[in-house]
Amino acid sequence: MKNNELDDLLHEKFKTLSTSTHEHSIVASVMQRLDTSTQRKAAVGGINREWTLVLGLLFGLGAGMPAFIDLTQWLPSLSGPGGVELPQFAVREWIGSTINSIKTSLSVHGWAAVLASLVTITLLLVPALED
Amino acid sequence: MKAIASKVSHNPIQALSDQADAVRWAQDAQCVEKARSEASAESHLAFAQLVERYQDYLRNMLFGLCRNQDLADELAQETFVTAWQKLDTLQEAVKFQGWIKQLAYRQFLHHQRHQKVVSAHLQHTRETANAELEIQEPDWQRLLKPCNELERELLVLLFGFEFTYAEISSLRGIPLGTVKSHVRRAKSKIAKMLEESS
Repeated sequence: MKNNELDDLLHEKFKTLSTSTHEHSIVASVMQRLDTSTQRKAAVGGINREWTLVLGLLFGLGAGMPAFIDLTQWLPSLSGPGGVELPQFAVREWIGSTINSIKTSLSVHGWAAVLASLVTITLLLVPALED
Repeated sequence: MKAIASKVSHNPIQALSDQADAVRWAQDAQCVEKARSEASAESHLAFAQLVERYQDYLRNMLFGLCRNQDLADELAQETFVTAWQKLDTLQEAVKFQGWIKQLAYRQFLHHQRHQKVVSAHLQHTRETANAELEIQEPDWQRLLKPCNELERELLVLLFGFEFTYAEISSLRGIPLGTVKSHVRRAKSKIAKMLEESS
């Protein structure tokens, strides 16, 4: 059997499925459910999903930027006389000192920026991705 | 435009079908606009018209996918409720049909994922579906016998409900080439079965 003959056959056989009708209607049940439980979900500020994603990323990055700038302050603490180089001590100590550096060098403004960034990303991106 | 017009005039049946589609989409768009309106009674009435118009289509499609009429009806209801909630996010009202059939397929996929977690329920549903198949087995179901679950699903969407390969690939989250090769494999299984039976 040729490929297009098989396609025609499949289209024809599936017509019985796609065009069959049902005696019992579900309109009443659907409308009852709308009356009782549902609120219309508004489009996010009247903009579509792609723009929401782009704006979410821009806001997220924008808010996160001061935090990033703050974080760069602890980088020189790792550098030796010849500039930035890998620490010579054990990895665990290095992680500990890194966390301490972040704690001490990130200002209140920096932490606020990190929080703002996370909240913005959550509020804008998550609903958009759910759609 | 001229090219389209000449194409249409050479194929009168196609032209009539296109005209009917255009009229239906325009009616859909009117209903969608009314359903979006603030006036509750009018908006409910308009949405009820859309449900009336598409209930058979969605129930058939979902039955083709899950092969259990009760489950298909439940999923169709869920789809309409979701459509109501998200109606304001529909960009072009004339594309209501394409939009709602995608919502229905998403609803089916969501249910399928949930089924994988609740394995006992899955077993029960499969048994019910199999029982239904034995009672009434139309031609399209007989044709799909040699295919596996995924192949059946893809053929129902492609040949029954005019999804494109690209739409399926995007909604299912599998590469376009993989969708095509599954369909090719399914078709060769069916061709083989038909040759053997004749």
